Amino acid sequence: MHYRAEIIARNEEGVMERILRVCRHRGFWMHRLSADLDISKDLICIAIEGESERLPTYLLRQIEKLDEVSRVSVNKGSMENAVVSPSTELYLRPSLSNVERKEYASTSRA
Amino acid sequence: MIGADAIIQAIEDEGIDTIFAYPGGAIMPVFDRIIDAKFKTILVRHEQGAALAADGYARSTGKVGVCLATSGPGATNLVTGIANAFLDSVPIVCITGQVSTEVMGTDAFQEIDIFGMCLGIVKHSFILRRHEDIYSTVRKAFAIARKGRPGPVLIDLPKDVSLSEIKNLKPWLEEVSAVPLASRENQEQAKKLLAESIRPLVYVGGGVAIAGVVKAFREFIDSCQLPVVATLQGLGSIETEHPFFLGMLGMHGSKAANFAVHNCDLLIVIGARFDDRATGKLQEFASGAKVIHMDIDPAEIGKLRKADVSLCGLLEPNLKALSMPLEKIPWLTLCHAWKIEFQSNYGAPGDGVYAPRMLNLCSRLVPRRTIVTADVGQHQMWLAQHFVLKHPMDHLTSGGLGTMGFGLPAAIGAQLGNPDALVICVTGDGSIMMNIQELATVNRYQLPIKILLFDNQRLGMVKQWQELFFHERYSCVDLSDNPDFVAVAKSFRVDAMMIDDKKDEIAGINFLINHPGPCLLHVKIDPLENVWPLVPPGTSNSKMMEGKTYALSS
Repeated sequence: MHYRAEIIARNEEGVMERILRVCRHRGFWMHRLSADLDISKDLICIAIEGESERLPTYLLRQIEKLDEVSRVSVNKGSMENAVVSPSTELYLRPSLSNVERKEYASTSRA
Repeated sequence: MIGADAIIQAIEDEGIDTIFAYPGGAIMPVFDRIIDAKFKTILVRHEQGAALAADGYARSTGKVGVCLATSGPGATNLVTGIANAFLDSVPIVCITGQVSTEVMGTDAFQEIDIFGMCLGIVKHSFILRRHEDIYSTVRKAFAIARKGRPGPVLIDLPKDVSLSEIKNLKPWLEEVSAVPLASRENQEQAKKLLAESIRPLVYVGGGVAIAGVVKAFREFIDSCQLPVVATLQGLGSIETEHPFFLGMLGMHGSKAANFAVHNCDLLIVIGARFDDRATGKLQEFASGAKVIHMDIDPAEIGKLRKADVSLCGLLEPNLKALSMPLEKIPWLTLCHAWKIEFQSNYGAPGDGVYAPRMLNLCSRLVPRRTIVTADVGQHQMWLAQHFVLKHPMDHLTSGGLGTMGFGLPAAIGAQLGNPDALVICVTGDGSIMMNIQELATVNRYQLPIKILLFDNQRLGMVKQWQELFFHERYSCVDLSDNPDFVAVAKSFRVDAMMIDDKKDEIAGINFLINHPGPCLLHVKIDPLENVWPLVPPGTSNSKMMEGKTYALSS
């Protein structure tokens, strides 16, 4: 089953490694990954797409245990069909070029 | 003030009275400052001993254990102990030295990426790159270690940061998180299931002891009059001799406990996680039962078995909410009949020592409070099956990781955390060799630990599995070239004696209990002896194997 995870976490040393390790260890294969810092660089927004035989809630419960994670959603489906919550757009880096912004938007919007 | 002082200050402000440590180059600034610290520093002889001693200290006291080691091999030697604490949800803070920040990542001498190595076995971890963060980070590490489901936290401290000048310590305020509570609606649903059940059974795990709610749990059981089975970590949550206690469930569980699970129609799971050692074949575990699952960790609810009602949050409010008189007399009578029918028989043939009998006897002769630590193997299972316990914090055993070598360092931690308790380390000839160097620590600090060493000249549990499942093809289990353990103990200035006859069982126990200082009782037992019952892997718990007892009978 395909899944999509969106995670907002404090931008601390090792946060990406921790989250990706949990995905791997808990049996979630990753196909696509994107990550952006917010304007203040205090938060990182990570979007992961992949597949697993386990239910999405299994991964959600493990990721939300991580100390840096403040918000996580894990749903069935792919990034093409994802709906980006308005609040995550606020976290896009201002340094992203218009081309980069467009590419991000096209992979993350229905 | 330098960074190292901030570390010491933070540990002191946490109220820690004892840490377990081994020095080295990268951590030297901290060791320099430790000389003037208010807490005691116990020098062990292997960093693994430090981590396991911190673990034993934490389990037996309810406080956070602390261990300290240097970089490189010092840090990697902590890994097994950290993993052990992680799998059994034990709060410890592990501080490792690290090379200076400017050479981190250059493969410097005794540099290892311990932060990366431990990502999968810690609750959280930090690299202290700024001296101004030291105090608050160490305080935060303790808070993380003990909150919610406890676990180990690693702090990696580069040497230059530990030497950096600090002007002021930033004050630290612990974040007050919301108290997790199950909903009133779920509690009502659980009460309804309880009232409607005909054969309800409580399955208790280590979570009750970890949460510090043993009293509330016992009141719940007495109020509802429910039969209880326990995991290895849950043993002692209800007194072993309580009339409602049926025994340990699972692979080496009692027949009464496993039959009760197999036949119940409602399983009330409290602080337990459906571990495979407890459930056997999961699809056939309590297959006819509904499940109420109480735990602090939402990730455990539904992980392996769907809960009909989940009560995720603090245990005590849930136990109180569900307490009500239930009169399930026919079921209680049946459980009691199983308990009587399948009670242990200590009349083994032969003149040799029978370990189950000796452990049972020992448990009836020891004073209150006695803490018993176990290593891993057949002796561990015999201890769990036959030692009469009064409290779960009296029984320290490596459950999740099954770490051979746990027993002696854990006993060291337990004795230092509980100076008035009698501490007995029950071990085997395989396990004792894994951290035998800690006899030096026992002697150094004159810790009156009693070591009960069952020697069958085998890696007994592995031998048993090779006998049962590998057509008696014995591979690497022969330990008939063991050293003379009495002589070894005496070389560490620990008094010791040996027994091998059943008529000496009481004398041996008296030697242990009454010896004023540390001592070792070397007990030779029959290598043919196995642990029964046994549920083969991939089998339902209702299909238990039984075998013969020997005790050196011909």
